[in-house]
Amino acid sequence: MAEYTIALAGNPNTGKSTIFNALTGSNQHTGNWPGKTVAQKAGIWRWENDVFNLVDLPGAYSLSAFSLEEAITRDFILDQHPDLVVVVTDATNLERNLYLVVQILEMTSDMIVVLNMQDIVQAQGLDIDVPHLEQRLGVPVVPMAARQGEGIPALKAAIAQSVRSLPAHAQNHGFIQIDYGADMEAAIAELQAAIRGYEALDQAYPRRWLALKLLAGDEKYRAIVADTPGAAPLLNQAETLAEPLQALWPEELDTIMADRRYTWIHSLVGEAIHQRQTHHVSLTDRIDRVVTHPVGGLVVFFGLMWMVFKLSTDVAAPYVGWITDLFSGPLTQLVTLLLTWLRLDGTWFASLITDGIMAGIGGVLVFVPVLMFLYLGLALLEDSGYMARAAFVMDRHMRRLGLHGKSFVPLVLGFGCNVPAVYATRTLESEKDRLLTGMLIPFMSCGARLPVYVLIANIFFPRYRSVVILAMYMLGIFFAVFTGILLRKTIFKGKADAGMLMELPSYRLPAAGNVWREMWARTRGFLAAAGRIIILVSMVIWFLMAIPTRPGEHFTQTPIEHSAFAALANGLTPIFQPLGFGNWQSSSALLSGLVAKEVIISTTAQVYHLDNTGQETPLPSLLIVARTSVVSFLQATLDTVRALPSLIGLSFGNANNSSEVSGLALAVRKNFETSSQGYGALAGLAFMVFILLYTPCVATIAAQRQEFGGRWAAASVVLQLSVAWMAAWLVFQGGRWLV
Amino acid sequence: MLQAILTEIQNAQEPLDLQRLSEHLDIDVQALQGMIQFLVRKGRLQPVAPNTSADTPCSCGSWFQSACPGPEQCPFVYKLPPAFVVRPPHS
Repeated sequence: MAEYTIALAGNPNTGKSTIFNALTGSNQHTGNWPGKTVAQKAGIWRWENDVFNLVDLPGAYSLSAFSLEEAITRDFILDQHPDLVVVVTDATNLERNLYLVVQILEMTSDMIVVLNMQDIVQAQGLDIDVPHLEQRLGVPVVPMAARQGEGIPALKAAIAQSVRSLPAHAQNHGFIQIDYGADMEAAIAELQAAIRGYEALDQAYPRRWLALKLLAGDEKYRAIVADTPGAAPLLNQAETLAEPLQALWPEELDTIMADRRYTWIHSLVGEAIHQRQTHHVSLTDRIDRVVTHPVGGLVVFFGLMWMVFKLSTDVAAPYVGWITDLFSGPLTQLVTLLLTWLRLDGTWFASLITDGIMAGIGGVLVFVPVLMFLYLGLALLEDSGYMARAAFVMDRHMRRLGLHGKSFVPLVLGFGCNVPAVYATRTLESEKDRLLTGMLIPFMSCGARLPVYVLIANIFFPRYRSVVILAMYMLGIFFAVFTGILLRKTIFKGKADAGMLMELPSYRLPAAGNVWREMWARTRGFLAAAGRIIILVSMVIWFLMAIPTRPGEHFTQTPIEHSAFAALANGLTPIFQPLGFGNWQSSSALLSGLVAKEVIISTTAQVYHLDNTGQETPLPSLLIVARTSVVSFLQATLDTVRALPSLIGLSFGNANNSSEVSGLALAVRKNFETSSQGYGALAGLAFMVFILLYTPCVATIAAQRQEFGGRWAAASVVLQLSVAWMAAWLVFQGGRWLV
Repeated sequence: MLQAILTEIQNAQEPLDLQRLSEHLDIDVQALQGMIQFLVRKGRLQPVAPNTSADTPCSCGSWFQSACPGPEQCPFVYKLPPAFVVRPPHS
């Protein structure tokens, strides 16, 4: 009876554990590798009176010892000298798996290669020439389908036969000899001859393998040689031999060695694997031919973005109407009722609650469905795999225009929120590229600006609101690209970097759970951030609006037009006069928008100070409020479903009611018509352009200051304000000239 | 082969898709992923990640630290495909 130690190695996910279980059955135990946190599994089986101890090595892609798993695998094979190494490979992915096989073969020829997943290989129409593989690798190759239990007896027999026919294992010698090229081979041969003179090293390690390690400058084995008495000259010799070799290639020597191994494997796989069926073009490939096409890709991108904005405007509109009605009616009535019951009606506190906080929050809450539908659209695109293609298409065009390839990540993130986008510029090494990208990010229209576009587009362009909103996003990209080119040619002179590789995922049907999670996480994130800042800003604005500026008027008893806030905003009005929106209400919204774009709507709702109709109607019972709310919610849902066909240009009846003009809309329209002397729509468009291009929020400025310093943050603010003013001026004055 | 991958990426006038690179170099996609992993570990390819620093605050973090879910969980960070750029050797 003999006892053998068998090591089981392989890449992760090759079915190694299935084979381990099939070989050892219930005779296994687990623990940790000595001194490591990596789990160790071992087991035994008997075969014809012999005992086989099987050690399951951690899954590893190579033996380059980049990871703990790789180091454990390498050290076990070298130090424990197992009688046999069984390397499990995924036969459907042989080229990648053979790298580990080749590396182990450079250490020992006492090996069996298992070609697992043969059933899938068959299904894929592949033929693997096993005898040819055995001949080239020089070791037995056992095909099997472990999950089906096929090939286990053959593997046991092959293992027994291999270990019994092996010579005494005084020293393992790598069998395989990859041709590393004449120059490197000469150095290897010289070093191998030298190693022969150091008995301790020669006994412990395969000669050729150690020579390769020393030439590649492997730290661990250099240290081992350095600690070996009298072996210091070997290190000097390795360095002397490596130096001229290194001068031959731009890459490090271990990269050159890896390159030669990959080339050898590629050639072997080409000889040993044959495809029985002709290669079919996958669905992903077919879709990508259009979606990533230089021109077709742009058309698809704009088309899908238009659908997303259609979804977040037309389809979301019934819910916007529902929340508007709910907030201006039953909710306000309930709060009024509560304040009356508490005997607080008519007090400054009641004014703070109704004119400050409720007006502010309500103004923004009505747009939550808009954002939810926007995030729904984006989540669908993300989960289907399209978003990756959008980044791919965008990057291509950005680089053609001279922008850094890596800039696409921060710029795309800017659509979500400018702040993380500014921080994402850290991935750019060049200071110039970081600064340039950081200056362009504010032009990317973040999610918080969307409600403002929706409000203004609904007022002035109700029929074309999706197109107008899409145009805003496109205009942002245009300004980013245009400013980028300008800055690249002037302040940040330089060349766009080399290419980039992207791993585009396969297309798939979006999973409802993923889409819901993404949509909800973003909506919740918006509500969490916006909610707090809106409450704060609404209170400040209410306070400023409550302060009188004329004698005889009292705190909270002054008309808004006479308030401190109106006086402050009026100071800015002349700046916006040439842009068509030179009224104190717009100035105040833009002023508060410097804090965060989320508060523009809340400020607008506050400063227009509409009479709440709810206060004039009799207070309903809670039951009626609840019933009305549920019925109107169901009606909104029905209208939303009816509006869905509009995404592809179809219309079934009067699907939405969003073009109904609200009191706020009427007030804004009247004010813009007055300040623009009859060019209200142009002034509205100029207002949207200004909001798109001017400073996004103080958080972005703070991020820019942190990342690029105070001077550049200030420069960025000046740039944004200048560009925004000039673009809005062009829109308004140019429009007037054309009309 | 590794050098060919680096050269292809460096010389590309537009972003390269892994699938296209695989077809161009006639290397199996999964084998190519292994080679890319090697180059990443050697520092010759650098992953382009949306957020690389653990101390990067997200939008809400810069204002309301207590509410910030951290860069990894920032809801406004879109999921983008793994992307890599070439870095100079010996750097």
